[in-house]
Amino acid sequence: MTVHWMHVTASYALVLATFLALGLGAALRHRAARRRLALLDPRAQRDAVRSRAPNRPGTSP
Amino acid sequence: MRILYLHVPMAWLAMGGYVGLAIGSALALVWRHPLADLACRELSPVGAAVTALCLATGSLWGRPMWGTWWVWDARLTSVLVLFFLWLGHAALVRAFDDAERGARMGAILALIGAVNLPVVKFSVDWWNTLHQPASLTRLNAPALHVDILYPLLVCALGFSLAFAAVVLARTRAAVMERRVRALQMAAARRAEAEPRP
Repeated sequence: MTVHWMHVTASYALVLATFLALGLGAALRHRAARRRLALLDPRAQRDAVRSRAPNRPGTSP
Repeated sequence: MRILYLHVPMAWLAMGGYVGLAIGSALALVWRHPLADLACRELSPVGAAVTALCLATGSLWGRPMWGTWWVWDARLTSVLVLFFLWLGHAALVRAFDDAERGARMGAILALIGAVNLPVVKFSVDWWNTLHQPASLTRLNAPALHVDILYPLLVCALGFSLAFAAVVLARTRAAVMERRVRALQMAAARRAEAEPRP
């Protein structure tokens, strides 16, 4: 691998890793907050259960 | 040339994101919009990350092209200042126990720091720099061939959408965290008010 390609690979890896870390961090934070909210607020828990339940045919979502 | 597809969108996002931060800060300061505070708080770490990526990819491009990782020319130095402004904002809004005071201080810093944006943009015109002048301007025809220009614009659009998605996801999580804190405080107040046996 030439120096040129090493620099190109390092650039792409750096950008990919950073955006993946940012996205993963945001998703984990969101999941943790949703769980804590479900424990504290029964209304939020009900909404979360409803959003996870599959839609049966003939019923509105 | 391949690093251009990363470096240029990161530079645009670093500056465009800072414009967003300045607008959000003005909204938070003048109209005291609660979501503007929160969005600015969540925007600054992402902005700092893309500015760091802009500097890193520029450095990785500069080493084989210019023969050096870094030069203290006006463009590079003003982008480094932009990076410190992003970091400073992220640190300042988290430095106060009173979140509202932290947000106000951060908003003032963001608005003062907006002075740096024209310096970044026009540094290649105002000073003699090693960094090349802008290849894409509004008034002139682009200096880039369409075979390079269109993929660059697609990359910029993709990174902009990813940036917006991350900021929105972080803001949404922050709204939920704020609601959790409010519910915890209410539960604590209720427990305190209850008569003890």
